[in-house]
Amino acid sequence: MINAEQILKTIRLTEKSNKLSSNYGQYTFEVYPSATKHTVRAAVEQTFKVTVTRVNIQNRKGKPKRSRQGRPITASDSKRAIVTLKTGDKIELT
Amino acid sequence: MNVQITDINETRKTLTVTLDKGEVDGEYNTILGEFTKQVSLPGFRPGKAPAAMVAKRFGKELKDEFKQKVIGKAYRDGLEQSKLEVLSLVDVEEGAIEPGLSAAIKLTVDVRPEFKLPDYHGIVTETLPTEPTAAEVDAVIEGLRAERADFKVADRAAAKGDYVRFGYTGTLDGQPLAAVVGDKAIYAAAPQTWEEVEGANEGLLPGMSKQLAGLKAGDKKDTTVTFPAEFAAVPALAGKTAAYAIEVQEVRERVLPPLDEKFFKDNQADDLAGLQSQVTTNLKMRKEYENRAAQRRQVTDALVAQASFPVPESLIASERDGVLRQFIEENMRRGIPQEQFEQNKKELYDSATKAAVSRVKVQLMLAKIADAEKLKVDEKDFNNWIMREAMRSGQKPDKLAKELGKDREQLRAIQQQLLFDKALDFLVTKATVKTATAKA
Repeated sequence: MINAEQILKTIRLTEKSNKLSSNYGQYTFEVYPSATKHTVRAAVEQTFKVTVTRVNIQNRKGKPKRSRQGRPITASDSKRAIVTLKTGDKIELT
Repeated sequence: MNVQITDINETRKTLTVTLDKGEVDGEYNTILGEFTKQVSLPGFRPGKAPAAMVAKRFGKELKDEFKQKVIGKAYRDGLEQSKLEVLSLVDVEEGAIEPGLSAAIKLTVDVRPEFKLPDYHGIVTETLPTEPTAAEVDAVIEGLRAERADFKVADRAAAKGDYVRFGYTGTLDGQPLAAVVGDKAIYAAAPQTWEEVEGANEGLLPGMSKQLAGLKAGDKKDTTVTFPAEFAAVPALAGKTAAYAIEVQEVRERVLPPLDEKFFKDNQADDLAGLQSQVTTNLKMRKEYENRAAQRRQVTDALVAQASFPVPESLIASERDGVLRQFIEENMRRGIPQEQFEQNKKELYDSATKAAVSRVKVQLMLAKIADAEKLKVDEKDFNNWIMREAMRSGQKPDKLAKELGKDREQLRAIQQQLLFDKALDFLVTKATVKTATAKA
Protein backbone atom coordinates (compact mmCIF):
# COMPACT_ATOMS: atom_id res chain seq x y z
CA MET A 1 0.00 0.00 0.00
CA ILE A 2 1.41 3.38 -0.99
CA ASN A 3 0.21 6.88 -0.27
CA ALA A 4 -1.16 8.10 -3.65
CA GLU A 5 -1.45 11.65 -2.42
CA GLN A 6 2.33 11.87 -2.21
CA ILE A 7 2.75 10.73 -5.79
CA LEU A 8 -0.08 12.19 -7.92
CA LYS A 9 -0.53 15.98 -7.85
CA THR A 10 -3.44 16.48 -10.22
CA ILE A 11 -4.90 15.13 -13.40
CA ARG A 12 -4.32 17.45 -16.35
CA LEU A 13 -7.46 18.53 -18.16
CA THR A 14 -6.50 20.18 -21.42
CA GLU A 15 -7.34 19.82 -25.05
CA LYS A 16 -4.29 17.73 -25.61
CA SER A 17 -4.86 15.40 -22.65
CA ASN A 18 -8.49 15.13 -23.60
CA LYS A 19 -7.51 13.92 -27.04
CA LEU A 20 -5.18 11.32 -25.56
CA SER A 21 -7.74 10.02 -23.11
CA SER A 22 -10.62 9.81 -25.52
CA ASN A 23 -8.63 8.33 -28.43
CA TYR A 24 -5.99 6.19 -26.78
CA GLY A 25 -7.08 5.60 -23.21
CA GLN A 26 -4.09 7.56 -21.96
CA TYR A 27 -4.42 9.87 -18.97
CA THR A 28 -2.00 12.64 -18.08
CA PHE A 29 -1.06 13.39 -14.46
CA GLU A 30 1.13 15.97 -12.80
CA VAL A 31 3.28 14.01 -10.38
CA TYR A 32 5.77 14.85 -7.65
CA PRO A 33 9.45 14.88 -8.62
CA SER A 34 10.08 11.82 -6.49
CA ALA A 35 7.53 9.71 -8.35
CA THR A 36 8.67 6.82 -10.52
CA LYS A 37 6.90 4.76 -13.17
CA HIS A 38 6.30 2.03 -10.62
CA THR A 39 4.88 4.25 -7.91
CA VAL A 40 2.68 6.10 -10.41
CA ARG A 41 1.29 2.79 -11.69
CA ALA A 42 0.52 1.65 -8.17
CA ALA A 43 -1.01 4.98 -7.19
CA VAL A 44 -3.29 5.19 -10.25
CA GLU A 45 -4.43 1.58 -9.94
CA GLN A 46 -5.15 2.04 -6.29
CA THR A 47 -6.99 5.39 -6.59
CA PHE A 48 -9.09 4.80 -9.69
CA LYS A 49 -9.47 0.98 -9.50
CA VAL A 50 -8.18 0.44 -13.03
CA THR A 51 -5.46 -1.62 -14.66
CA VAL A 52 -2.46 0.30 -15.96
CA THR A 53 -0.59 -1.20 -18.93
CA ARG A 54 2.08 1.43 -19.41
CA VAL A 55 3.50 4.55 -17.76
CA ASN A 56 5.56 7.18 -19.58
CA ILE A 57 7.27 9.88 -17.57
CA GLN A 58 8.36 13.31 -18.77
CA ASN A 59 10.61 15.64 -16.82
CA ARG A 60 9.80 19.14 -17.99
CA LYS A 61 12.24 21.93 -17.34
CA GLY A 62 10.71 25.12 -16.05
CA LYS A 63 10.63 27.91 -18.61
CA PRO A 64 12.62 31.07 -18.12
CA LYS A 65 10.28 33.83 -17.02
CA ARG A 66 10.46 37.36 -15.73
CA SER A 67 9.62 38.16 -12.15
CA ARG A 68 7.23 40.95 -11.36
CA GLN A 69 10.21 43.17 -10.70
CA GLY A 70 11.58 42.31 -14.11
CA ARG A 71 14.38 40.05 -12.92
CA PRO A 72 14.81 36.84 -14.91
CA ILE A 73 13.55 33.80 -12.98
CA THR A 74 12.75 30.23 -13.86
CA ALA A 75 9.31 28.63 -13.55
CA SER A 76 9.28 25.45 -11.49
CA ASP A 77 10.24 22.20 -13.16
CA SER A 78 7.41 19.70 -13.49
CA LYS A 79 7.07 15.98 -13.91
CA ARG A 80 4.26 14.46 -15.92
CA ALA A 81 3.16 10.87 -16.19
CA ILE A 82 1.13 9.65 -19.16
CA VAL A 83 -0.64 6.52 -18.02
CA THR A 84 -2.08 4.02 -20.50
CA LEU A 85 -4.97 1.94 -19.21
CA LYS A 86 -6.15 -1.50 -20.23
CA THR A 87 -8.62 -1.25 -23.10
CA GLY A 88 -12.08 -0.54 -21.71
CA ASP A 89 -10.89 0.94 -18.44
CA LYS A 90 -11.81 4.57 -17.81
CA ILE A 91 -11.15 7.40 -15.39
CA GLU A 92 -14.02 9.77 -14.85
CA LEU A 93 -12.82 13.27 -15.69
CA THR A 94 -14.29 16.33 -14.08
CA MET B 1 -45.66 14.30 -29.84
CA ASN B 2 -49.18 14.25 -28.65
CA VAL B 3 -51.47 17.16 -27.92
CA GLN B 4 -54.64 16.88 -25.92
CA ILE B 5 -57.07 19.72 -25.52
CA THR B 6 -59.39 19.96 -22.55
CA ASP B 7 -61.87 22.76 -22.18
CA ILE B 8 -62.05 24.57 -18.88
CA ASN B 9 -64.57 27.00 -20.21
CA GLU B 10 -65.34 28.47 -23.59
CA THR B 11 -62.28 30.63 -23.74
CA ARG B 12 -59.88 28.78 -21.48
CA LYS B 13 -58.33 25.50 -22.51
CA THR B 14 -55.71 23.17 -21.20
CA LEU B 15 -53.24 21.75 -23.66
CA THR B 16 -51.44 18.68 -22.51
CA VAL B 17 -48.42 18.29 -24.73
CA THR B 18 -46.48 15.07 -24.45
CA LEU B 19 -43.02 15.08 -25.96
CA ASP B 20 -41.40 11.68 -26.41
CA LYS B 21 -37.90 10.73 -25.40
CA GLY B 22 -36.32 11.45 -28.77
CA GLU B 23 -37.70 14.97 -28.95
CA VAL B 24 -36.62 15.80 -25.41
CA ASP B 25 -33.14 14.43 -26.08
CA GLY B 26 -32.92 16.37 -29.31
CA GLU B 27 -33.65 19.58 -27.43
CA TYR B 28 -31.09 18.69 -24.80
CA ASN B 29 -28.40 18.05 -27.35
CA THR B 30 -29.00 21.28 -29.18
CA ILE B 31 -28.84 23.26 -25.99
CA LEU B 32 -25.71 21.42 -24.88
CA GLY B 33 -24.17 22.10 -28.26
CA GLU B 34 -24.93 25.78 -27.92
CA PHE B 35 -23.39 25.86 -24.47
CA THR B 36 -20.28 24.02 -25.60
CA LYS B 37 -19.77 26.46 -28.40
CA GLN B 38 -19.73 29.42 -26.07
CA VAL B 39 -18.02 28.15 -22.97
CA SER B 40 -14.32 28.65 -22.36
CA LEU B 41 -12.63 26.42 -19.77
CA PRO B 42 -8.98 26.59 -18.64
CA GLY B 43 -6.85 24.28 -20.74
CA PHE B 44 -9.16 24.51 -23.73
CA ARG B 45 -9.56 27.04 -26.49
CA PRO B 46 -12.97 28.71 -26.34
CA GLY B 47 -15.62 26.35 -27.63
CA LYS B 48 -13.31 23.34 -27.67
CA ALA B 49 -14.07 21.90 -24.24
CA PRO B 50 -15.68 18.44 -24.38
CA ALA B 51 -19.46 18.43 -24.02
CA ALA B 52 -19.43 16.04 -21.08
CA MET B 53 -17.20 18.37 -19.14
CA VAL B 54 -19.37 21.37 -19.98
CA ALA B 55 -22.49 19.50 -18.91
CA LYS B 56 -20.89 18.75 -15.57
CA ARG B 57 -19.54 22.25 -14.97
CA PHE B 58 -22.66 24.15 -16.00
CA GLY B 59 -25.26 21.62 -14.91
CA LYS B 60 -27.62 24.10 -13.28
CA GLU B 61 -27.67 26.74 -15.98
CA LEU B 62 -27.98 24.08 -18.58
CA LYS B 63 -30.97 22.55 -16.88
CA ASP B 64 -32.82 25.85 -16.59
CA GLU B 65 -32.23 26.66 -20.19
CA PHE B 66 -33.23 23.20 -21.22
CA LYS B 67 -36.49 23.43 -19.33
CA GLN B 68 -37.32 26.75 -20.97
CA LYS B 69 -36.56 25.33 -24.33
CA VAL B 70 -38.71 22.24 -23.86
CA ILE B 71 -41.62 24.31 -22.63
CA GLY B 72 -41.17 26.69 -25.53
CA LYS B 73 -41.18 23.83 -27.97
CA ALA B 74 -44.23 22.31 -26.33
CA TYR B 75 -46.04 25.64 -26.55
CA ARG B 76 -45.14 26.24 -30.18
CA ASP B 77 -45.93 22.73 -31.30
CA GLY B 78 -49.04 22.59 -29.19
CA LEU B 79 -50.36 25.74 -30.85
CA GLU B 80 -49.48 24.48 -34.25
CA GLN B 81 -51.17 21.16 -33.80
CA SER B 82 -54.22 22.32 -31.91
CA LYS B 83 -54.82 25.20 -34.34
CA LEU B 84 -56.05 27.36 -31.49
CA GLU B 85 -55.86 31.13 -31.69
CA VAL B 86 -54.19 31.75 -28.39
CA LEU B 87 -54.40 35.18 -26.84
CA SER B 88 -52.38 34.60 -23.72
CA LEU B 89 -50.66 31.93 -21.73
CA VAL B 90 -52.18 31.72 -18.30
CA ASP B 91 -50.31 28.95 -16.59
CA VAL B 92 -47.65 26.35 -17.25
CA GLU B 93 -47.47 23.16 -15.28
CA GLU B 94 -44.51 21.06 -16.21
CA GLY B 95 -43.78 17.66 -14.82
CA ALA B 96 -40.25 16.34 -14.57
CA ILE B 97 -38.25 17.41 -17.59
CA GLU B 98 -35.09 15.34 -17.85
CA PRO B 99 -33.01 14.31 -20.81
CA GLY B 100 -33.72 10.70 -21.66
CA LEU B 101 -37.29 10.84 -20.41
CA SER B 102 -40.49 11.79 -22.13
CA ALA B 103 -42.07 14.99 -20.84
CA ALA B 104 -45.68 15.99 -20.31
CA ILE B 105 -46.41 19.70 -20.14
CA LYS B 106 -49.76 21.17 -19.20
CA LEU B 107 -50.40 24.59 -20.69
CA THR B 108 -53.40 26.65 -19.69
CA VAL B 109 -54.20 29.19 -22.36
CA ASP B 110 -56.85 31.74 -23.16
CA VAL B 111 -58.06 31.50 -26.72
CA ARG B 112 -59.70 34.03 -28.96
CA PRO B 113 -63.42 33.37 -28.60
CA GLU B 114 -65.17 32.27 -31.71
CA PHE B 115 -68.02 34.44 -32.76
CA LYS B 116 -69.77 35.57 -35.85
CA LEU B 117 -69.45 39.20 -36.66
CA PRO B 118 -72.77 40.95 -36.76
CA ASP B 119 -73.49 42.96 -39.87
CA TYR B 120 -71.28 45.93 -39.33
CA HIS B 121 -72.13 47.79 -42.48
CA GLY B 122 -74.63 50.51 -42.03
CA ILE B 123 -74.73 50.84 -38.29
CA VAL B 124 -77.16 53.62 -37.71
CA THR B 125 -75.57 56.68 -36.22
CA GLU B 126 -77.12 59.96 -35.41
CA THR B 127 -75.41 63.26 -36.03
CA LEU B 128 -76.38 66.78 -35.30
CA PRO B 129 -76.44 69.37 -38.08
CA THR B 130 -73.08 71.04 -38.36
CA GLU B 131 -74.22 74.34 -39.86
CA PRO B 132 -74.23 76.80 -36.99
CA THR B 133 -77.27 78.99 -36.62
CA ALA B 134 -77.04 82.75 -36.60
CA ALA B 135 -78.00 82.79 -32.94
CA GLU B 136 -75.08 80.51 -32.07
CA VAL B 137 -72.65 82.70 -33.98
CA ASP B 138 -73.98 85.77 -32.22
CA ALA B 139 -73.66 84.05 -28.87
CA VAL B 140 -70.00 83.27 -29.55
CA ILE B 141 -69.31 86.86 -30.57
CA GLU B 142 -71.09 88.09 -27.45
CA GLY B 143 -68.88 85.73 -25.48
CA LEU B 144 -65.81 87.24 -27.12
CA ARG B 145 -67.01 90.70 -26.16
CA ALA B 146 -67.70 89.61 -22.59
CA GLU B 147 -64.14 88.30 -22.34
CA ARG B 148 -62.84 91.74 -23.21
CA ALA B 149 -65.39 93.60 -21.16
CA ASP B 150 -64.36 96.55 -19.08
CA PHE B 151 -65.66 97.15 -15.57
CA LYS B 152 -66.43 100.76 -14.82
CA VAL B 153 -67.43 102.27 -11.53
CA ALA B 154 -71.13 103.05 -11.68
CA ASP B 155 -72.78 105.60 -9.44
CA ARG B 156 -76.18 103.98 -9.38
CA ALA B 157 -78.07 101.13 -7.81
CA ALA B 158 -76.66 97.70 -8.65
CA ALA B 159 -78.57 95.81 -11.32
CA LYS B 160 -78.24 92.31 -12.72
CA GLY B 161 -74.81 91.66 -14.15
CA ASP B 162 -73.06 94.35 -12.16
CA TYR B 163 -70.26 93.57 -9.77
CA VAL B 164 -70.56 94.74 -6.22
CA ARG B 165 -67.78 95.15 -3.69
CA PHE B 166 -68.95 94.83 -0.14
CA GLY B 167 -67.88 93.83 3.34
CA TYR B 168 -69.89 91.58 5.60
CA THR B 169 -70.16 90.31 9.16
CA GLY B 170 -72.20 87.23 9.92
CA THR B 171 -74.17 86.30 13.02
CA LEU B 172 -76.05 83.15 13.90
CA ASP B 173 -78.87 83.56 16.41
CA GLY B 174 -77.35 86.84 17.53
CA GLN B 175 -73.90 85.30 18.15
CA PRO B 176 -70.89 86.18 15.97
CA LEU B 177 -70.22 83.45 13.43
CA ALA B 178 -66.48 83.38 14.07
CA ALA B 179 -66.85 80.82 16.85
CA VAL B 180 -68.99 78.50 14.72
CA VAL B 181 -66.99 78.34 11.50
CA GLY B 182 -63.63 77.56 13.06
CA ASP B 183 -60.72 78.07 10.69
CA LYS B 184 -62.98 78.95 7.73
CA ALA B 185 -63.05 82.58 8.91
CA ILE B 186 -64.14 83.81 5.49
CA TYR B 187 -67.66 82.56 6.24
CA ALA B 188 -67.87 84.68 9.36
CA ALA B 189 -66.74 88.07 8.12
CA ALA B 190 -64.69 89.75 5.41
CA PRO B 191 -63.67 93.39 4.96
CA GLN B 192 -64.32 93.20 1.23
CA THR B 193 -65.34 90.78 -1.48
CA TRP B 194 -66.68 90.92 -5.03
CA GLU B 195 -69.92 89.37 -6.10
CA GLU B 196 -71.86 89.45 -9.34
CA VAL B 197 -75.43 90.56 -8.90
CA GLU B 198 -77.69 87.62 -9.74
CA GLY B 199 -74.73 85.99 -11.42
CA ALA B 200 -74.87 82.55 -12.96
CA ASN B 201 -72.26 81.23 -10.54
CA GLU B 202 -73.09 81.00 -6.90
CA GLY B 203 -70.58 82.95 -4.84
CA LEU B 204 -69.11 82.00 -1.50
CA LEU B 205 -72.32 82.63 0.41
CA PRO B 206 -75.28 80.85 -1.18
CA GLY B 207 -78.04 83.18 -2.27
CA MET B 208 -76.11 86.32 -1.42
CA SER B 209 -75.84 87.50 -5.00
CA LYS B 210 -79.61 87.69 -5.29
CA GLN B 211 -79.87 90.12 -2.40
CA LEU B 212 -77.50 92.71 -3.82
CA ALA B 213 -79.71 94.21 -6.51
CA GLY B 214 -80.79 97.77 -5.90
CA LEU B 215 -77.98 98.67 -3.52
CA LYS B 216 -75.78 101.70 -4.04
CA ALA B 217 -72.25 102.41 -2.86
CA GLY B 218 -72.34 103.18 0.86
CA ASP B 219 -75.65 101.34 1.43
CA LYS B 220 -76.00 98.98 4.37
CA LYS B 221 -78.32 96.04 4.50
CA ASP B 222 -79.09 93.09 6.74
CA THR B 223 -79.37 89.93 4.75
CA THR B 224 -80.07 86.33 5.65
CA VAL B 225 -78.33 83.38 4.08
CA THR B 226 -79.75 79.89 4.31
CA PHE B 227 -77.10 77.25 3.90
CA PRO B 228 -78.07 74.01 2.15
CA ALA B 229 -78.70 70.88 4.21
CA GLU B 230 -75.42 69.47 3.00
CA PHE B 231 -72.68 72.02 3.20
CA ALA B 232 -69.32 70.31 2.93
CA ALA B 233 -67.14 73.38 3.40
CA VAL B 234 -68.43 74.14 6.90
CA PRO B 235 -70.57 71.31 8.25
CA ALA B 236 -71.49 73.37 11.30
CA LEU B 237 -73.46 75.75 9.07
CA ALA B 238 -75.36 73.08 7.15
CA GLY B 239 -79.09 73.77 7.15
CA LYS B 240 -78.68 76.89 9.31
CA THR B 241 -79.85 80.39 8.49
CA ALA B 242 -77.33 83.07 9.32
CA ALA B 243 -77.70 86.83 9.28
CA TYR B 244 -75.11 88.89 7.45
CA ALA B 245 -74.80 92.62 7.78
CA ILE B 246 -73.32 93.94 4.55
CA GLU B 247 -71.99 97.29 3.54
CA VAL B 248 -71.65 98.05 -0.14
CA GLN B 249 -68.44 99.83 -1.02
CA GLU B 250 -68.55 100.01 -4.78
CA VAL B 251 -70.72 99.07 -7.74
CA ARG B 252 -69.16 98.35 -11.10
CA GLU B 253 -70.95 97.72 -14.34
CA ARG B 254 -69.81 95.58 -17.19
CA VAL B 255 -69.13 97.57 -20.34
CA LEU B 256 -68.83 95.47 -23.45
CA PRO B 257 -66.36 96.70 -26.06
CA PRO B 258 -68.05 98.10 -29.15
CA LEU B 259 -67.97 96.09 -32.35
CA ASP B 260 -65.37 98.32 -33.92
CA GLU B 261 -62.23 97.86 -35.92
CA LYS B 262 -60.04 97.37 -32.85
CA PHE B 263 -62.24 94.59 -31.62
CA PHE B 264 -62.15 92.87 -35.02
CA LYS B 265 -58.41 93.26 -35.19
CA ASP B 266 -57.96 91.73 -31.77
CA ASN B 267 -59.86 88.72 -33.05
CA GLN B 268 -57.92 88.54 -36.31
CA ALA B 269 -60.77 89.65 -38.55
CA ASP B 270 -61.35 92.63 -40.82
CA ASP B 271 -64.96 93.41 -40.20
CA LEU B 272 -68.13 91.97 -38.74
CA ALA B 273 -68.73 89.68 -41.70
CA GLY B 274 -65.18 88.40 -41.47
CA LEU B 275 -65.52 87.71 -37.78
CA GLN B 276 -68.83 85.99 -38.33
CA SER B 277 -67.44 83.73 -41.03
CA GLN B 278 -64.45 82.94 -38.86
CA VAL B 279 -66.65 82.03 -35.94
CA THR B 280 -68.86 80.01 -38.25
CA THR B 281 -65.97 77.92 -39.53
CA ASN B 282 -64.70 77.34 -36.03
CA LEU B 283 -68.10 76.33 -34.81
CA LYS B 284 -68.58 74.07 -37.79
CA MET B 285 -65.28 72.37 -37.20
CA ARG B 286 -66.04 71.85 -33.57
CA LYS B 287 -69.43 70.45 -34.37
CA GLU B 288 -68.03 68.14 -36.98
CA TYR B 289 -65.45 66.93 -34.51
CA GLU B 290 -68.12 66.36 -31.93
CA ASN B 291 -70.21 64.53 -34.46
CA ARG B 292 -67.33 62.28 -35.35
CA ALA B 293 -66.66 61.50 -31.73
CA ALA B 294 -70.35 60.86 -31.18
CA GLN B 295 -70.48 58.57 -34.20
CA ARG B 296 -67.55 56.59 -32.96
CA ARG B 297 -69.19 56.27 -29.60
CA GLN B 298 -72.43 55.15 -31.18
CA VAL B 299 -70.68 52.58 -33.34
CA THR B 300 -68.86 51.25 -30.31
CA ASP B 301 -72.07 51.04 -28.35
CA ALA B 302 -73.75 49.25 -31.22
CA LEU B 303 -70.92 46.74 -31.35
CA VAL B 304 -71.07 46.09 -27.63
CA ALA B 305 -74.81 45.65 -27.79
CA GLN B 306 -74.46 42.99 -30.45
CA ALA B 307 -71.58 41.20 -28.83
CA SER B 308 -72.72 38.05 -27.16
CA PHE B 309 -69.67 35.92 -26.69
CA PRO B 310 -67.57 34.92 -23.74
CA VAL B 311 -64.52 37.03 -23.08
CA PRO B 312 -61.21 35.53 -21.92
CA GLU B 313 -60.50 36.27 -18.29
CA SER B 314 -56.87 37.17 -18.71
CA LEU B 315 -57.75 39.94 -21.15
CA ILE B 316 -60.37 41.30 -18.81
CA ALA B 317 -57.90 41.25 -15.96
CA SER B 318 -55.26 43.21 -17.80
CA GLU B 319 -57.78 45.67 -19.20
CA ARG B 320 -59.32 46.10 -15.77
CA ASP B 321 -55.95 46.89 -14.28
CA GLY B 322 -55.48 49.52 -16.93
CA VAL B 323 -58.90 51.05 -16.30
CA LEU B 324 -58.38 51.11 -12.56
CA ARG B 325 -54.92 52.60 -12.81
CA GLN B 326 -56.13 55.32 -15.12
CA PHE B 327 -59.08 56.09 -12.91
CA ILE B 328 -57.02 56.29 -9.75
CA GLU B 329 -54.34 58.41 -11.37
CA GLU B 330 -56.93 60.81 -12.66
CA ASN B 331 -58.56 61.19 -9.30
CA MET B 332 -55.30 61.46 -7.42
CA ARG B 333 -54.46 64.40 -9.60
CA ARG B 334 -57.76 65.93 -8.62
CA GLY B 335 -56.72 65.51 -5.02
CA ILE B 336 -59.01 62.74 -3.87
CA PRO B 337 -57.32 60.93 -1.00
CA GLN B 338 -56.32 57.32 -1.20
CA GLU B 339 -58.65 56.29 1.63
CA GLN B 340 -61.63 57.08 -0.48
CA PHE B 341 -60.60 54.48 -3.04
CA GLU B 342 -60.13 51.96 -0.29
CA GLN B 343 -63.68 52.54 0.87
CA ASN B 344 -65.28 52.05 -2.52
CA LYS B 345 -62.87 49.36 -3.51
CA LYS B 346 -65.50 46.83 -4.38
CA GLU B 347 -67.68 49.17 -6.38
CA LEU B 348 -64.68 50.49 -8.23
CA TYR B 349 -63.56 47.00 -9.02
CA ASP B 350 -66.97 45.99 -10.29
CA SER B 351 -67.42 49.01 -12.49
CA ALA B 352 -63.89 48.63 -13.84
CA THR B 353 -64.64 45.00 -14.67
CA LYS B 354 -67.75 46.02 -16.50
CA ALA B 355 -65.91 48.64 -18.49
CA ALA B 356 -63.12 46.21 -19.20
CA VAL B 357 -65.49 43.54 -20.52
CA SER B 358 -67.08 45.88 -23.01
CA ARG B 359 -63.74 47.29 -24.05
CA VAL B 360 -62.31 43.84 -24.63
CA LYS B 361 -65.39 42.87 -26.61
CA VAL B 362 -65.05 45.90 -28.83
CA GLN B 363 -61.37 45.24 -29.31
CA LEU B 364 -61.94 41.64 -30.26
CA MET B 365 -64.61 42.59 -32.73
CA LEU B 366 -62.58 45.41 -34.20
CA ALA B 367 -59.64 43.10 -34.62
CA LYS B 368 -61.83 40.66 -36.48
CA ILE B 369 -63.30 43.38 -38.64
CA ALA B 370 -59.86 44.70 -39.45
CA ASP B 371 -58.89 41.21 -40.40
CA ALA B 372 -61.97 40.70 -42.54
CA GLU B 373 -61.54 44.02 -44.31
CA LYS B 374 -57.78 43.57 -44.64
CA LEU B 375 -57.04 46.80 -42.85
CA LYS B 376 -53.38 47.31 -42.14
CA VAL B 377 -51.43 49.86 -40.19
CA ASP B 378 -48.81 51.30 -42.50
CA GLU B 379 -45.93 53.62 -41.98
CA LYS B 380 -47.99 56.68 -42.76
CA ASP B 381 -50.35 55.97 -39.91
CA PHE B 382 -47.41 55.52 -37.60
CA ASN B 383 -45.84 58.78 -38.67
CA ASN B 384 -49.10 60.60 -38.17
CA TRP B 385 -49.42 59.16 -34.73
CA ILE B 386 -45.89 60.10 -33.83
CA MET B 387 -46.42 63.66 -35.02
CA ARG B 388 -49.61 63.95 -33.02
CA GLU B 389 -48.10 62.43 -29.92
CA ALA B 390 -45.00 64.58 -30.21
CA MET B 391 -47.13 67.67 -30.46
CA ARG B 392 -49.19 66.63 -27.47
CA SER B 393 -46.27 65.85 -25.20
CA GLY B 394 -44.01 68.57 -26.53
CA GLN B 395 -41.21 66.25 -27.61
CA LYS B 396 -39.32 66.18 -30.84
CA PRO B 397 -40.81 63.64 -33.25
CA ASP B 398 -37.41 62.13 -34.06
CA LYS B 399 -36.63 61.55 -30.42
CA LEU B 400 -40.00 60.01 -29.78
CA ALA B 401 -39.64 57.70 -32.75
CA LYS B 402 -36.22 56.63 -31.54
CA GLU B 403 -37.49 55.89 -28.06
CA LEU B 404 -40.37 53.90 -29.43
CA GLY B 405 -38.02 51.89 -31.58
CA LYS B 406 -36.43 50.55 -28.44
CA ASP B 407 -39.66 49.45 -26.81
CA ARG B 408 -41.08 46.55 -28.75
CA GLU B 409 -43.97 45.98 -26.40
CA GLN B 410 -45.18 49.53 -26.59
CA LEU B 411 -44.77 49.60 -30.31
CA ARG B 412 -47.04 46.62 -30.64
CA ALA B 413 -49.61 48.17 -28.36
CA ILE B 414 -49.60 51.34 -30.45
CA GLN B 415 -49.92 49.39 -33.62
CA GLN B 416 -52.91 47.60 -32.22
CA GLN B 417 -54.46 50.84 -31.09
CA LEU B 418 -53.98 52.35 -34.53
CA LEU B 419 -55.52 49.31 -36.13
CA PHE B 420 -58.55 49.60 -33.87
CA ASP B 421 -58.80 53.27 -34.71
CA LYS B 422 -58.70 52.46 -38.36
CA ALA B 423 -61.35 49.79 -38.03
CA LEU B 424 -63.53 52.17 -36.10
CA ASP B 425 -63.10 54.85 -38.74
CA PHE B 426 -63.96 52.31 -41.35
CA LEU B 427 -67.15 51.45 -39.51
CA VAL B 428 -68.03 55.10 -39.22
CA THR B 429 -67.60 55.62 -42.94
CA LYS B 430 -69.81 52.63 -43.60
CA ALA B 431 -72.38 53.72 -41.08
CA THR B 432 -75.77 54.98 -42.05
CA VAL B 433 -75.97 58.56 -40.98
CA LYS B 434 -79.17 60.02 -39.71
CA THR B 435 -79.19 63.71 -39.07
CA ALA B 436 -81.17 64.60 -36.06
CA THR B 437 -83.01 67.84 -35.94
CA ALA B 438 -81.08 70.57 -34.27
CA LYS B 439 -81.57 71.08 -30.61
CA ALA B 440 -82.87 74.48 -29.86
